Amino acid sequence: MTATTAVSSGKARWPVPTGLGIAASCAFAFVVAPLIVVAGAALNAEAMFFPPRQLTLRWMMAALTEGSFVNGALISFVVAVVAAAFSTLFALPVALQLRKAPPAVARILTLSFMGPLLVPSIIFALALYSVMIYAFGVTNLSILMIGHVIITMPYPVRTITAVTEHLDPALEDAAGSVGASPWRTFVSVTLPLIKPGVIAGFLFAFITSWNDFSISVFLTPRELQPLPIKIYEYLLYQYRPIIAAVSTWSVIGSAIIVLIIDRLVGLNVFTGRRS
Amino acid sequence: MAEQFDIELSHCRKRYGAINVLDDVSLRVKSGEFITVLGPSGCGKTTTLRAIGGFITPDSGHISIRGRDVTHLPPYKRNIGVVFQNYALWPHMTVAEILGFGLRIRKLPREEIARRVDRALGMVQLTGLKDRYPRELSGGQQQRVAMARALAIDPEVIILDEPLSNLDRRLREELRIELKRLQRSLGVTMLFVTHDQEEALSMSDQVVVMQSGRIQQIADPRTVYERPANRFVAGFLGSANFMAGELVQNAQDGKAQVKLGNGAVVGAYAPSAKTAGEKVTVIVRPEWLVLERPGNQLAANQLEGTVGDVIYEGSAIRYGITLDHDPEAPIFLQERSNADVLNPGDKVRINVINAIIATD
Ligand SMILES: Nc1ncnc2c1ncn2[C@@H]1O[C@H](COP(=O)(O)OP(=O)(O)OP(=O)(O)O)[C@@H](O)[C@H]1O
Ligand SMILES: [Mg+2]
Repeated sequence: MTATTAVSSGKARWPVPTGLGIAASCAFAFVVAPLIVVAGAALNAEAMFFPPRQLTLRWMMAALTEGSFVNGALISFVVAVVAAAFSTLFALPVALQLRKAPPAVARILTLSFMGPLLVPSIIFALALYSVMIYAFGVTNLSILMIGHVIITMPYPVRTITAVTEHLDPALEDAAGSVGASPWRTFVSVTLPLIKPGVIAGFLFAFITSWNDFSISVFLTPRELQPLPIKIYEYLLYQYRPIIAAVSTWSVIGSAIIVLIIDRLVGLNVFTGRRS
Repeated sequence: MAEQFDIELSHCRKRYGAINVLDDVSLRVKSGEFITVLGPSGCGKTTTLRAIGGFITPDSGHISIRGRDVTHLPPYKRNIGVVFQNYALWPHMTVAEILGFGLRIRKLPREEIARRVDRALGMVQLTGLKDRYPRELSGGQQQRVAMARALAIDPEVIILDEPLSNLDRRLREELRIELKRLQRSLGVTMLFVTHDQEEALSMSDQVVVMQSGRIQQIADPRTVYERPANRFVAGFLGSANFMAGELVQNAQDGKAQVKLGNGAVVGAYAPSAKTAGEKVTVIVRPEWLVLERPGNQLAANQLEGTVGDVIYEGSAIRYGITLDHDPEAPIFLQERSNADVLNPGDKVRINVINAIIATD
């Protein structure tokens, strides 16, 4: 009953596919197709094909128990959590300070904090690598994390400024008027009100770090390789569906995080507009 | 010993770029007084209030609260209740949490906080809404919560920035009376910012009239209305007709006789001494003009003219009148609406019963 209504109302709204509608569907297919291919390949029994010849969940299961990948995922997870935590922590004062700057200055500064997005990350990684080798003679996990903090900073800066833009300064003044010190005001009023932006920024930073390849490929110490590097190295020598399965799990994880962000603040934090 | 004031501003100045937003502002508020800062948009009312609250520091001058110099103290060390124009209620807290916030900061015992929250809610007649969030309240209720939050901390003074301007007319008038009653019963000193002259006149013990960062007059409502210090004050409070005239004799003890353009002589209040023959402008409020049905002899204080606009205002009727002797400067006259209604084009005779000599 409900299904019928839904279909008929859907028909009423889309009588004939328009040019725009077709273009949008193509774009959607274009974006989603690789994900489907990867997921499909992961369901193969023997070698990777698409569409899969024989369906099995064997590789999906195997991916979760294969020591090398689990190990890589663990390292990726630790690096991503630490990097995202630091970049969010650094982004907080930046966003709060930008709010107090004159609008023109704030706009320019906001754009410069997007800088890491503009430099090709492989170039940036190379630069960081040479500096670190020069300074310390080695790379280690903390240097990898520093690299990740830098490339992930733009996300929390953007998501937090998107929220602070809509924060009425009178709310903080009001806290001061009843006796709250600046710190108390921050903890009890500012932070709870910008929390969605902070969490979204953290999660975006997390995903970016988790999926990063180009920074990691330079800065990763031999014995502590994060997942994307593990996948890459595996692919150099072997070609089995387990690699597609690992990627599929990674995509599923990222997708869940994106959904959480959307629930928290809406993905339009990146356009600065809120629903 | 010098008298102590609850709020005292002396020679406060504040510049933003090229404009003097506060230009030598001084004012004193006695304990228990209700004082209103009134002026057009952009005249510096909010800036005055923010300086008292501690949200900005004046470039020069001093501010004291109950004799304590607070000029350089941050807001949280001042103990001043503030009611913001858009209420600024914290959206993530319930009413009880909002009112209790300042008390929790003061580390009062839990029962004491609950007691004082209840008392503040009782004062603004909101008992029973403790667990609501601000978005679940109407505009009027939000306004009351903002008021209660300021009261709950037991402040030395309360300052309010146009607290009623976001409400519809009915509610505004209701809350105006309620607020005034509350202020009187608690005996708390309040400084109230508004651009609404009716609000200022009906609530205040003292009215501070501001223009472009300068105080134009500080006086009780009756005085600012009936004895405005200058042309700006006269024009800003209520409506005012301006008429040209000449002094018949030296003005003394505030009393003067002014001859208007048609030869009519009217008695006027003179704020400063003036000599006979001096050209002056007199201010005449619309209700200081009384219609006289055309008779035979023109009395000393009468003018003649023709009715132009007829504006019905419910309790009153306002006539635009073109004077015979000065058609360039039409005037307004106000009469109770239960009198006979005149029509445009009617010839009228007007008694001038009161006037003030304008100073700049
Ligand atoms: N932070 C600021 N920077 C620059 N100019 C300011 C600032 N705050 C206020 N002004 C200017 O100071 C003047 C007085 O502002 P203020 O807010 O005190 O006016 P107001 O009397 O409260 O007006 P309104 O009735 O519109 O609220 C205005 O011209 C305003 O543009
Ligand atoms: Mg204002």
